[in-house]
Amino acid sequence: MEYHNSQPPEGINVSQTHPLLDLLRLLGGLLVIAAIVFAALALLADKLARYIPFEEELAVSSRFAADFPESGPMNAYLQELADRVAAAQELPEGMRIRTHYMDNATVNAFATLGGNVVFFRGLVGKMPSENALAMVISHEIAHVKLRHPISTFGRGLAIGIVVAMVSAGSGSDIVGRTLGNAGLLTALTFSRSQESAADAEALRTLARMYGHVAGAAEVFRLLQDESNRGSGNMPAILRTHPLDQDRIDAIARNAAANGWPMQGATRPLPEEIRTLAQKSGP
Amino acid sequence: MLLSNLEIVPGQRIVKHLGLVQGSTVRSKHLGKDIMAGLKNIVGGELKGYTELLQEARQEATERMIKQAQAAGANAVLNIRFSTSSITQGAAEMLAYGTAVVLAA
Amino acid sequence: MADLIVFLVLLASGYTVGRIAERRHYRSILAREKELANVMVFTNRFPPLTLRAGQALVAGSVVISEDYFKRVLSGLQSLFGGRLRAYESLLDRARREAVLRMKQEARGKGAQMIVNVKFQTFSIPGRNPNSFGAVEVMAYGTALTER
Repeated sequence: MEYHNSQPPEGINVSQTHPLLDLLRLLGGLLVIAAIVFAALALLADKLARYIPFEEELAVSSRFAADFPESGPMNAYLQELADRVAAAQELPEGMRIRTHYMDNATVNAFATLGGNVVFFRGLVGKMPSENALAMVISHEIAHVKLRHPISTFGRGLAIGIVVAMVSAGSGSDIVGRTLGNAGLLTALTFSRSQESAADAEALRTLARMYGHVAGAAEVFRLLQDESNRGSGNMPAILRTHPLDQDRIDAIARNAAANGWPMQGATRPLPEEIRTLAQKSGP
Repeated sequence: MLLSNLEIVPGQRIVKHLGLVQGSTVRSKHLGKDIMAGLKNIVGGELKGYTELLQEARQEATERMIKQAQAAGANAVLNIRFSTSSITQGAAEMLAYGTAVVLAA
Repeated sequence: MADLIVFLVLLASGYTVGRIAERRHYRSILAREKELANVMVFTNRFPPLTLRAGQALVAGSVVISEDYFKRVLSGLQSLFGGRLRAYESLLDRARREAVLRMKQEARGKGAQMIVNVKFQTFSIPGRNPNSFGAVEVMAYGTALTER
């Protein structure tokens, strides 16, 4: 009986594939799957969230109502104008718009849950007429009417749940964190199609209120000038509501198709409102 | 290739001992099975996903051990032992090792 | 953003330094395996019955830690299931190193054969509950020494 030992060949218990190739392949696969899953979830959450009644939104938003500032003369004016716009916009039963005014130089406005719409001083200050301001108000009210805040919220929630499941299941916290950040980014803004739907709705309301859509033309010309001036000090509204030629063309086409004149007499903003809005400072 | 965890093979003579051969693998189950297992923790019972995992791992480890034995020129592996350890959550390492021998009829 | 940069830096350093260390380790393992080839190892439970020799219990163990790159790669691989190739090379190195250290100890006792070799693998948890910090492999057996 002989006793020998021989050296086994390399590569039986280890794999010969290059680890970087492995990593790239896996990342590629993961990104593709993540994109598909997120897109599917976004669609699903969008459809389902609209079934949540508006009263539920109010219940949620009443919890952060305390964060909004006290109403002043500026907000009283905004609320009155918003009520006029809302009347022309034919909101469904039970939906009430509440405006809030932030005394901050940010040039932005947004709609959030519960019919709350927020306007910043920077934006109001740049409005050349009541028509232009009404256009912006109508656009934000359109988001509320079309239930965009709740559907975005639902989308973000669905993505958050999936990310939590994946990060719990994977062996590494890094994967979870990366997916989490990616998921959050997709949840923060209204989609392009939501923006153009709000545009169309706002245009219709403006025509109903004034008989012409010169206010819309003013707003978009203003924003185009801002973006042409350079992106150094891009106002917040341009970052959250990207303006591209397609959107402007769509509005012009819409107005032409419906026979709404792009020119007309515009009403100026009340003197005291203009002074309050155009003060400088943070 | 004859595999056994006995010292000898009854009726056959060992001509040559060729030394230690080992096969090992580290495997994990995909995310879906992990989530199912997590839910199973609530109700209890056999975790079929993980049973499959360890069976596949044992299969693969044994195959690799056989490959090493063949490279050494053996026709049997005796005194086989298995060793399992859990590496990370949901992944397991399986090691199969034995002595490669040449048997005469 | 800072998070991502830190992550990439750790990943790159884990990859480069880890690869270099692994290659160096394998070279050392291959060299020592050649050198210690005359100390034979078997998993037989009985020594050759005609051999008159003394006995000594010998063991070799090693603890090798994972690197950041291996951890991330395995995290991704475990999402999809299948072989964790990154850890396979880690365990292969650890096992061969343990066997070499056992052989070294046996040679120190003047033995040329080790029988009844067994392995034990432990994983030592890392700081993060989701990953293992290091793996310990121990190989032990009975060395047949000169009488």
